[in-house]
Amino acid sequence: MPMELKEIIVISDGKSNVGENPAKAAFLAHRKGIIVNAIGIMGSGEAEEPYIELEGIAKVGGGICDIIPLSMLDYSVQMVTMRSVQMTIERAVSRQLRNITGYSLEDMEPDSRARILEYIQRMGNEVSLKCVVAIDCSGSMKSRIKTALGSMQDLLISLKTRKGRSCLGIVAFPGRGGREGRVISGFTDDFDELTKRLKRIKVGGPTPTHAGIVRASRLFDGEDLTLYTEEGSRWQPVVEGPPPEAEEERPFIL
Amino acid sequence: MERILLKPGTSIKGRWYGGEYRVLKPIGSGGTAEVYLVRDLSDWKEYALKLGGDMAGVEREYKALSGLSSIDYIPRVYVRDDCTIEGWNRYFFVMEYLEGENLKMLCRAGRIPQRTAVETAAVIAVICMLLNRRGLYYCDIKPENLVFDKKTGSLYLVDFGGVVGERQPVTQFTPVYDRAGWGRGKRIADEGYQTFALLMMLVDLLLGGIPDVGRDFGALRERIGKTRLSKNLKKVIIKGLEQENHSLEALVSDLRRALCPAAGDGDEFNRCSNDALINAGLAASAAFFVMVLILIL
Repeated sequence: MPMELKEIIVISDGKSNVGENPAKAAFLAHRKGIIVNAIGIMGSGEAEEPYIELEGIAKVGGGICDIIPLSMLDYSVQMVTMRSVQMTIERAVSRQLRNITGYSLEDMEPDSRARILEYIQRMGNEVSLKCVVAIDCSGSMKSRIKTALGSMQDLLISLKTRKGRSCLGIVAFPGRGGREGRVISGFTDDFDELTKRLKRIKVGGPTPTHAGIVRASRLFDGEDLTLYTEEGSRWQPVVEGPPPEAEEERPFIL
Repeated sequence: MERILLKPGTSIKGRWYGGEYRVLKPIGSGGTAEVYLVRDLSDWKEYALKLGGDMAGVEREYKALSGLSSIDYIPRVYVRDDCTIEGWNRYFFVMEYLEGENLKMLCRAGRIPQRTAVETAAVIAVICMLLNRRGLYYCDIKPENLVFDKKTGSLYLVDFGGVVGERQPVTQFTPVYDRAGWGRGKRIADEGYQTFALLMMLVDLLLGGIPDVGRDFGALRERIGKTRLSKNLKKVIIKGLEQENHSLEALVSDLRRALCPAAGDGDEFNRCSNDALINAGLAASAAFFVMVLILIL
């Protein structure tokens, strides 16, 4: 049983157009024990193709894919996250059960598995959770970014109701040069700090979804746990002390 | 999780308990599950069957419904089972088929009179109180989830997928009815959460939509204040939306008083015990819904 769940939620409104196939990054992240989910924002009259890519990301990433209109985004982000947590625990418990008894949950009669499902639900609420939202900030998101940022604040509202410890990190793509992903915030459970950081997101450029997932997955390696600050157009890790504008705020919880 | 919509004529065979059901037509779908009208091939009667790929979700809803079988206004549930559809594992339960229309459909057919909307809100509050006493908090209050059954002329609360225990995280909700989204409290199940959702639904019904003010609660309050609703009703709505810990009992008596201010002076309602309140509410509702049907249909 994992002691801590790791989830990535990719939010995009289009198909990746720079770099490698994003499913590859999702596959590698999943091999590291991270669940990769995807949310597609439907545009008017867009082809089905972008969503096939997102479905592929969720499939190899072991997560959930939800394709929704913009108006449903805040609901979807929290719903996908919470459901993905449940699903991950359900799978892990089922696997353990199969190892021990030779039967998975599906092989059990509904009456006898009811109590195990109750346990899973409780676990879902209590297990500690680290979550990264990787958000598409390419040119096409211009009119949608405000809602997208709102959806992340909304996710935080839901995370706060959990009994277990939860924290959230934010990665935006594209980053510098239109190719990389960019860390907007390392893991935090500080609502105000996150809200402040979300305002720094800039929109424009291509859609390097692969790079976004890679960056998000690297957050879990612990190398991005320092605060980031923007100097000119460059994003640099702050090695000593918090950034000047955040002096009185408490440091990120790791 | 692949989504498969079943066509009429498809057969659903229970894996454990042996039932077999033929799909007659889809009734609705949402979230992670679909509901079909089916015929039970053993007794040839019609039922509603809820089918989903989320094992825990189906189980949770079945359990909630089966614990509430003694309450009217809630569909009876019969059996739950597993099945395989196109090679995928699916989970389902069979429940009473309600032949009727939900409040949203009724609203589309014509504007609901103010009095009817307020009475409806009061009755839902009473039903929620009954459920709360059993430790089940129904939080996804919305017009789509309120069905007027033509056969019995009664109101039913449907979709128990989002029912949670007291002070548990709320996971299914309507974003514009959600207290937390408006910064008016936490996204956890308590009476304050239900009161907020109920009043937002009432505002939605009365004004034909929630005013478009982003998520600015102050602006919403101002907009409600400027509407042509009666002064008393506006006061009740704003008070209920503002208070984080508003109780359903207080809401019901406030709504009643807003409808007939004269009765409120004697404070007859305040002297009623909780039980009397619930009984009075439900007794009134049965007669009331027949009236609604005549009015609207």
